[in-house]
Amino acid sequence: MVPVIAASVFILLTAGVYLVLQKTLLRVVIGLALVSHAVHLILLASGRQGVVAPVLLPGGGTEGVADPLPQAFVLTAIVIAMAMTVYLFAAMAALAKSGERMEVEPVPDSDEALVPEAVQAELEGRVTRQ
Amino acid sequence: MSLALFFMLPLATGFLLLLWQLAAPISRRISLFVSIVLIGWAFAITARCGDGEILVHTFGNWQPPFGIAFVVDRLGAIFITLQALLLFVTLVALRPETHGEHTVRRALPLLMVATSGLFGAFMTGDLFSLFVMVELVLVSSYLLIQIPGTKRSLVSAMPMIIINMSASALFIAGLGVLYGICGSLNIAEVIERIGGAPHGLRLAALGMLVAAFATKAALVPLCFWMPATYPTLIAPVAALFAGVMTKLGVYALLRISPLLAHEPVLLTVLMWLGAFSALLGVLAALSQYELRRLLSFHSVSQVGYIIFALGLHTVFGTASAIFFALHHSLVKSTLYLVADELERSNSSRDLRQMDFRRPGSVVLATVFGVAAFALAGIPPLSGFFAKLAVFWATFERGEWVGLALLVVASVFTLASMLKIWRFAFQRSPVERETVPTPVSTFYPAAVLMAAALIVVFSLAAGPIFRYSLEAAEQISGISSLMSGDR
Repeated sequence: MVPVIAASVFILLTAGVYLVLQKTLLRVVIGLALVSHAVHLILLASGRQGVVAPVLLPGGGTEGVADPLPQAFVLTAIVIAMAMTVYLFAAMAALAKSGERMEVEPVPDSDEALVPEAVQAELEGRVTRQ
Repeated sequence: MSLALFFMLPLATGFLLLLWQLAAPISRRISLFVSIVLIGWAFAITARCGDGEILVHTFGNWQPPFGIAFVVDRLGAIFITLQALLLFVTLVALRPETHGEHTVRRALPLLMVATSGLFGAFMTGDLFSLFVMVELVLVSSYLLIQIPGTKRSLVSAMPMIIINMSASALFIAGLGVLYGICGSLNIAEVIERIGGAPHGLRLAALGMLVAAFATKAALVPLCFWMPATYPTLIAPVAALFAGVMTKLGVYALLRISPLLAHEPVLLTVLMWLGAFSALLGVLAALSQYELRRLLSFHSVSQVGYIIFALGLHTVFGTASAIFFALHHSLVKSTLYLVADELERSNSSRDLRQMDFRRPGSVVLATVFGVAAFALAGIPPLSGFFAKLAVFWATFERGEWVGLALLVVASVFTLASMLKIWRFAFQRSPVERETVPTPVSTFYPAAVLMAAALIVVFSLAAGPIFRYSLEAAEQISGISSLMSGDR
């Protein structure tokens, strides 16, 4: 099992790092997702018994049982990584709505409003829609 | 029980504020009340830990190998108190009148959630729940960055998120390898077992953890997300973040420093990274004209001092790192709050556009003077004691090159403070003849409070340093106590 996991980690990590180093935001986000998959596999593999071993046997024996703790860790980590990815997509959608090119770019110095003034006013409750 | 409640109180407040959607003044009042309760509670915890007691709470009474424990010793108690105090100052500074009703209403729940994440991180006795707490803080900070709703805030959030997510990936990978070699992520158990682990895997695991924490603490090659992001945050929130959030990485490094003793090469790397951060950070700060970007490069430099002292790996060095971290949090928050007032009264972020003729300039100048002198290390103030401790620890170890770098950085620190002084308090721009009309009136409460904290901290430097020294002895002297069964 170990060579398979090691190979998967290698492939995921290579692809992920390659994508993170791209300029387009979508690729960066997908790359980050791949990198997080790779490190989740590392965490899962730390349970030693291989990924297919069960954590509980019907008979109640302990022979060949996987350590449940890394699996619990991985579940938590997967949820966090998923939430971060969704958040990044939402941020990209906000950028796209404002007509931005979806690329990693230098941070601008000026403070130009992203949302048009009228919408901002409505958001802040200064103007109510009729 | 009380530790769990202490963690839950800000979290619950945050969620309730999010659900109720109250008017900004009311939610601000609720938050202020909660933060006062938290300050009292934090001081009670600090007092109990001061006697050498270690507070333990095991969730659901599951004992450590399986359950997760909150463990508070002196180090954790110090940082909890710091966060509670700075939260209060931030809430005082964050007014609906000055920052907009909408902003305040959206920022308060997130601030509360971030606070509970920071409390959790400072209290947990388990490396994996440290990861979860760090993510909780980061998620709230990502959302807080977006609140201004400008293009810049959205674009500048991207590097921070991407870099911090990569650091989190390293963090998880390090935890995975560490679990593989130690069979546990409880800090005390890891400390006990890591001695017998194979050298290569140990170096890999700890190296990944150190890289992740150094990114979160913003050390020099990994620091560039911070100056990009902090200038776009709402200013009082930036004050809190500059004060405490960068200290999260420092805290994590302090916590795992007993592990690093097994791999001295990592400590050496940290030490030199710290020394170069101290110098390069302040040089970058000197070249900036945007006030808050200057201050964030400054944080890089000051965190460098802290990490350098930590990398010396003596008890005295660790103690001076803790003391320096406290000093820097208070001073840097004060400077950010002053920057907030300056930016609003001049309606500009650029030092070159600033005008000294403005309401409240005497109070602001005094507060800035106190903070700048403290940062530069002028004797009666806290910076003097902090720098003295770090230099003394360096002197004891005989790291002459490092000492020279720190002294040079210290001179430049004073220079950069003088730069702010010259532009913001001494001159008016030539092209601007009229006094700028202030956008809002001047509210001195928050800055005065922050300055008072610095003065009190300076006056109490002796007892606080003794407390830091005891904390350093406690974390390095080891912590079989921390496993939860006392």
